[in-house]
Amino acid sequence: MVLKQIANGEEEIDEAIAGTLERRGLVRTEHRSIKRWSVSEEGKRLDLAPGGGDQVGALTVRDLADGAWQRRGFRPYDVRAPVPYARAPRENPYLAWLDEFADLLVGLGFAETEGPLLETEFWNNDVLFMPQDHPARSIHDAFWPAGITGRPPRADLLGGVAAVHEGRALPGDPAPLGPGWGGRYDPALAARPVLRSQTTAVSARFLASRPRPPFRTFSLDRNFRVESVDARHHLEFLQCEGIVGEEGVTLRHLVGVFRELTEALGIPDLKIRPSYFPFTEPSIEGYVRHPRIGWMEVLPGGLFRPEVLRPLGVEVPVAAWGIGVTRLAMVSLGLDDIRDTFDTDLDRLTRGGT
Amino acid sequence: MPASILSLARVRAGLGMPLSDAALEELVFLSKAEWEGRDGDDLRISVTPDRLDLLSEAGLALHLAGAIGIAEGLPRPRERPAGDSARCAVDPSVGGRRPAFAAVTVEAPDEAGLDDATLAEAIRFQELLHATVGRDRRVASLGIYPLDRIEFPLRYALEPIEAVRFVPLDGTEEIAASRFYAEHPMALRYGGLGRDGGAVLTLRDARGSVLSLPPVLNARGAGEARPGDRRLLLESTGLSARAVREALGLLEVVFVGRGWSVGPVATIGSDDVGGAALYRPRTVDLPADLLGAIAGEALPASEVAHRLAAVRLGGHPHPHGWSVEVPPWRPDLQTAVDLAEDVVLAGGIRPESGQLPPSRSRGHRLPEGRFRARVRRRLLGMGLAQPYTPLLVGEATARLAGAEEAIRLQNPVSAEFAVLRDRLLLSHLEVLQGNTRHPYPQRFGEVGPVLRRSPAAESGAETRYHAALVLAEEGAGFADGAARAELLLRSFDVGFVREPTTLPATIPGRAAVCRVAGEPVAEVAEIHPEVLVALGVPVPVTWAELDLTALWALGGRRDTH
Repeated sequence: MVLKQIANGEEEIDEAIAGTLERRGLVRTEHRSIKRWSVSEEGKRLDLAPGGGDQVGALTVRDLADGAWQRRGFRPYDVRAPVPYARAPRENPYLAWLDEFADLLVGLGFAETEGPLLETEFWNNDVLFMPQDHPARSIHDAFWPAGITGRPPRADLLGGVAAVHEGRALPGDPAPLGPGWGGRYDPALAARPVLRSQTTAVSARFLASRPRPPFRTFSLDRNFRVESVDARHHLEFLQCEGIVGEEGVTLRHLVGVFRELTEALGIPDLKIRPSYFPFTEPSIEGYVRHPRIGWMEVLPGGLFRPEVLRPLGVEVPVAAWGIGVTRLAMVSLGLDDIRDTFDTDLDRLTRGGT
Repeated sequence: MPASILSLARVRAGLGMPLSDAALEELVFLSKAEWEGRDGDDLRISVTPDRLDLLSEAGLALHLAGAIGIAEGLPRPRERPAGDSARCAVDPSVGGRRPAFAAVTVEAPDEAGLDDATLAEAIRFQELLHATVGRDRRVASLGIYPLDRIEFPLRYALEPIEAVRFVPLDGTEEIAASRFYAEHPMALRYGGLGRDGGAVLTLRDARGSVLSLPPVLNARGAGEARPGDRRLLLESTGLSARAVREALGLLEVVFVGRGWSVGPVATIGSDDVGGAALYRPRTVDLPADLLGAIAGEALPASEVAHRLAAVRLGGHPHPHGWSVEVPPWRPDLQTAVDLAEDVVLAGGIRPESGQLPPSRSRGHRLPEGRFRARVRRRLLGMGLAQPYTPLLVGEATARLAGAEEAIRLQNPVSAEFAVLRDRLLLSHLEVLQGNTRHPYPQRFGEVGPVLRRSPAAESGAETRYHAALVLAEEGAGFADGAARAELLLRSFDVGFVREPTTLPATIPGRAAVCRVAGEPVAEVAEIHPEVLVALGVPVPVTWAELDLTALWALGGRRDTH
């Protein structure tokens, strides 16, 4: 009965029965929507004066050429209506911060240097008086490349470094600089390639070039250490190494550089405590106070040991420091996750804002 | 940094005066130790590797007492030799396996002898020294023995394993060394250090009793120090005389710091590991001019004397400086600069005392670095976003990109960071993959380092700097990438030619190399759809990469704008 009513196009249909017929596949429902337009309250506020249809909408080349816009006037737009979401690249904030940091060092009289990311153990460790059996040199702390071989440095450098490691006198010296690390220095280990774990290697290469004092250099570059990647650690990080070499440089000058740097960065609170690095003596560490995080160690440094300087032929004292700039940048940029310094999110990098 | 958990009560007892946690924490901050936290009596503390002595309650109390001025100068233990027979014969057989040996005796200051807490401290500190100075017992290990149950002289030797039977420290019955080495967990872990084929290292006393199987485990009885013992033997064996001397000297602080006396044990048949310096202070010279050069001021003699006393060192002045007495538990003090550090830092380092270096110098960025920065700005000016990507890329990405020549790591921590990129393209494929949820077009560029194999380089690989750009959008084609690459090349004022080439991961016939004076300086190509599908990228991608290191050498120096 209902099926017949539907077939006849009748409009008064029992919907329950029609639904059952539809589920059985005997009838088909068609939905139609009807749109009607009317002027909204907002629209009514616009000028709907007679003749408005002739007003200029989008200004065209033709409008400009024939001067029609002078006769027709302009149809006003709803300037509060949504517009397309525009995107444009902006300078990567981390890279911009690093540039500013480097400029700060330049302003303090430091010249930029750089070195290879893949080093030999000699430059990464040995020349810095790190004992060849130092735990930090184990496979757990440094990355080693597969399938390539390195070669030792020139013989005079290798010989001098071997002497201080073994506690022997340098050529021409009456006595050893110290007892060294004991055992035999292994030149084969010195040639092993290692992914650079500290930018101090760059300073060592610079010092080996026999620079004429006074000199001040910095290196702001990548380093690599075996770390599990999480919010606070990354196996690839930036360090800013700096050295000051000239007659009369003392620990006070290193502290002076720390103070100058922190003041320039707008960090008011600095305190300094003893520390340890195999290549500096004395070794200190500067802490700065962050309003949310508290005291953070960011300024390690010291005076290079004679065991570092003498084999390189450097005769003046050299103050050195290596700042964990990634950590400083995180504070400065308000980042909570170190992985965000490697920003590859193209949406974030093009949508504007901070 | 080396770390441990100390008893705060024992540290305070060692000081002999009450100090608040805050005051203690501040004092610790000014030392080479770090207050990591407190949980009840447990003080979590870490130290720099040169001050392991601060990881014992006795060593930390000694230091803090000097810092707050309630004690000063070098603690001088009484010397109480254990007798003429206090010696150990080191058999030549140990030479090929573990040749270094040293020992001292210590004696309690009162009848009560060893108490539970001191024994626990000594054992905990011994294990810490095994892990640090001893490099997990490989380089040096330590043993503590009850001297009253031992008869001198001792003998340290390599014996046939079938000749050795003993009761392990944690056992109840005598067993064969062969069984011990086959079954005991300590032997399974450290056995390789104490065994040489069919022979094992032994330390026996004059009666033939086994004291220990170095460096694995002590024996019960003669090798078991107990509360109440008044006299102890401390010994160390190892590969290195220096490590043995350091480990033994450091362990002594647990006892000397609590007033125990010390005595020598002569070593016969091997090199002298430390002689009297094992139990007496050694002397290190500190020239006054060196001290002044490091401190930045000429310290008055009275001030130097005060500071030496505060850091618990002894010494006396001479016309050119100081003869400083250094105890066995300070192996970090080997040379004059080591001493100068202690003296300088004992005065505290105040930021306001800092001065800028005496001379003025003109700073500058590296010219090649400025060149790279200009290229980076140009990429930005071309409307390209600026990702910053790691040098290390994933193995899967490297395979997808056909980067056969890229250097792999021997010890990657994960497959995500296993390959040193030889083109920025590798990182940029990962950028594309990570941004598939974002709208297109996507256009980005980067300047960064890559590593290329180079037999001429000292390390076997050369660090080069590249600039790369990627256009991912409907309609992106070879010409779009090539046009932008050539825009950059023109700005370097170099003449170049573009030639067809073959590049992995790109569409055959749509890859080119740009050469300047025959040297390749840029590559341009359309990325192969197979790669795009694998990455989940739904639009065509064109890519160009310039070798900035080559361009700098060829003419980039002229690019000053």
